[in-house]
Amino acid sequence: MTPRPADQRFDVVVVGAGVIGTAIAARLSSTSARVCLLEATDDVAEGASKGNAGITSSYYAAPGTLESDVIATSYRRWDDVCRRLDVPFRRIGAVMAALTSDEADGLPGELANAKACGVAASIVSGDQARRLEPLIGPDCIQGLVLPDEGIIDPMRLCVGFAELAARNGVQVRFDSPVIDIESQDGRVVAVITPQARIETSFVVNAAGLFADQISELAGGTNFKMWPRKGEYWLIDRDWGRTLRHIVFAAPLPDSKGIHVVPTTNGTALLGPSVTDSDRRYDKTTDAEMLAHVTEKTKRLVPSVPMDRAIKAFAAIRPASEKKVRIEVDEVVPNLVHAINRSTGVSSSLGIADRVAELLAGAGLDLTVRTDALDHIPTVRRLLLDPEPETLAALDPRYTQVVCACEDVSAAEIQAALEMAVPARSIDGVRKRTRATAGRCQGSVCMAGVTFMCSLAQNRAPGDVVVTAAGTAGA
Amino acid sequence: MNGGPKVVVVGAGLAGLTVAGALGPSASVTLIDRLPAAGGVLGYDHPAVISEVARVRAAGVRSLLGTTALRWVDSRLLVAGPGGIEWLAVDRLVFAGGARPAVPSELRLFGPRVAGVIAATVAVHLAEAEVAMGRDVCLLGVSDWAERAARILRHQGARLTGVSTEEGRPPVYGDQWWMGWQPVALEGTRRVTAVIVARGESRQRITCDTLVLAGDSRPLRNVDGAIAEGPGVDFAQRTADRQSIEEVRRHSLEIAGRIRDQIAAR
Ligand SMILES: Cc1cc2nc3c(=O)[nH]c(=O)nc-3n(C[C@H](O)[C@H](O)[C@H](O)COP(=O)(O)OP(=O)(O)OC[C@H]3O[C@@H](n4cnc5c(N)ncnc54)[C@H](O)[C@@H]3O)c2cc1C
Repeated sequence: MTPRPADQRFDVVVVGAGVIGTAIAARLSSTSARVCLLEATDDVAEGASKGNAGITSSYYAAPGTLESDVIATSYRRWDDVCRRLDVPFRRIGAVMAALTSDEADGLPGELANAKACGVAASIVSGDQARRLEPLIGPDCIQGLVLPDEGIIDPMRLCVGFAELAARNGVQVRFDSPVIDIESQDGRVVAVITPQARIETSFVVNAAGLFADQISELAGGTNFKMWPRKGEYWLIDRDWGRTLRHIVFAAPLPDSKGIHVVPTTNGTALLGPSVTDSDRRYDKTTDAEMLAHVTEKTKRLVPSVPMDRAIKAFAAIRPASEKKVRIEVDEVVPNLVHAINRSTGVSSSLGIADRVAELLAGAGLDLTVRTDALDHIPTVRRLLLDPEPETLAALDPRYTQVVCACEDVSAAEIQAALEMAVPARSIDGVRKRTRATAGRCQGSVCMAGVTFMCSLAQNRAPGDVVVTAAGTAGA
Repeated sequence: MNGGPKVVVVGAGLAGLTVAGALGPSASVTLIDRLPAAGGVLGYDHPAVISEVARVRAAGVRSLLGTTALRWVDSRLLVAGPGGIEWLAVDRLVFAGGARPAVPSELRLFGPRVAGVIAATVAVHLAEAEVAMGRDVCLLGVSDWAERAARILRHQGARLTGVSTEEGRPPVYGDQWWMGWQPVALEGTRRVTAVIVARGESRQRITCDTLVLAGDSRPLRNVDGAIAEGPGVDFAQRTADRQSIEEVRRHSLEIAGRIRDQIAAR
């Protein structure tokens, strides 16, 4: 279908292209609503939606809460959605490992809660837990098995949502921070970015950590967001792929603890730590915190090889008094908040549905379009394709392997540079293809990826953007 | 071209060439490299490379250049190259993929996620493509990479400060060296502004706008299934940051000799 012509008047402006904003844009794109997605940075998944563990929870929050509701309306749908949006996903299940008798005493409560949420769960002995996941260590005395937990590539999920939205005519605009919001008679009428004044009937606030600022600009409810940092180790695929399940620690009163999580590309994540702060841009990793993460994970899975750590990184949860806020603003009737601190990935489908309901309830016409796409083209991947030997006939660029650690070919990188929501930086290529993300962290391929970006974007190699923070050259 | 077991040597640098040349007479050897020319870091026109290439030819070794080895599963090797993507039946794999600089997590170098932190291998490539890398460059490590990066970045007019965990005499390249200091953290908000180095209890802050990772080399491993030691796989890779051509050759011949003995014993 042909995209709608660019215009400056929309039914809905969605602010923020994290997993929540992109999910909402994708959801609305199957309706008659005219939608614009505004993102401050140069790509999707630049905030919390980038550095998370990529767990699609089945059970996380107490039954009857908004959080457990939106997870419940999401978790069974991943197999289907990920197939349509070309997103790696595996429903591998999780074992929550109790290491002390106190922790074991907490498992029946967890089991009851999971069951009350309608989620499959069972308690097993330490030996049964180790039979299920042989990497679980001898300290585990009892386990709670959650077979419906899954792992997803959280960045590809954002890319998939945004790509579907864009192909269905949603305008996706990057480098477009919302810096002001105009109101009239208590309603939002226009959103201002440095480039444009955009009239709209509704605003959806999916600005994550900065959602309080959007609410303030709109004259809405006064609430405060703060950064809750989590640090991770990333362990080489050579070991990670031997891990078959997510291994959770038993939860503490205030946090879910430190886990060992396989990723869809075969690596494993250890973490996250929890640090509240007031520095919103602070993604600093620090030695002490990471040593703590190591110590905790070694008790769950003693064989984790720390000499195979390929990266340490931090991500920031958008924390607030409410863990989850999905509601029409108390003051401004055409402003809808969509914020989730810890389970935004797991609940993104449910949140998008609920936001659509709220918008419809507030008077937006959401007639279902019959011509909307429900999927995006699949890009076959050298690393994961079951029949790699057939790829060369499809596109000879599959034979040019640019990133040898992650088996990423020139065909895949070119596809990332040419999609409707294309990679605009080396990080953008990394999010879409994993090139430069392997054990050598780009020592070999970063220059090649830079040159491919330079050609596709018609700019000098020194002007190719590496991360949102800067270019390759100084 | 010989009969005997099928051996694939991955990497046509000096180590891979030496192993392939030495095994050629007693096995059916295929030599593979990602790049379209042999020579690896030394380059195709280095005298040692030229003589090894001649030996490899004479030994009847088949060469598949411009071909990347991807994964090793049950005596089959998946390769991608001008001939397409195919599985080769292989009895034995020798991986000679060279080395790479250690990455920040391996160096236990923590801090903010900033632009301007770059592997020496990449810095050299980009500088050769006329990308201006920075005015105030900090080089981590004493190595061939450090030296190459220093040469080209100096040519761009950069000031170079080196840091090495090793004690001893500083190298001749670079304006200033911190010998015997351990880099422990980065600083910066968008681009790197400094690296913190430690020695015992003392800490120093070295300002820079670019940090080039050039030391503590690690074997480059990128064939899935042949990342760590395992059945049917040998590694011919240097481990020290600097190794003479003679050392590389001797080490490679040792490995080839061991494989030849094992082949003969069967
Ligand atoms: C360490 C860690 C581990 C986690 N693990 C999991 C997990 O395993 N499973 C799970 O489900 N969840 C997990 N989460 C939670 C999940 O990552 C978040 O809930 C989710 O990413 C929030 O999505 P978001 O779209 O609201 O936020 P973000 O991804 O932060 O998106 C907000 C976007 O808004 C943009 N923005 C801000 N201000 C403006 C403005 N003025 N104008 C325009 N754009 C603006 C930002 O640039 C950003 O792109 C984890 C989080 C962390 C930090």
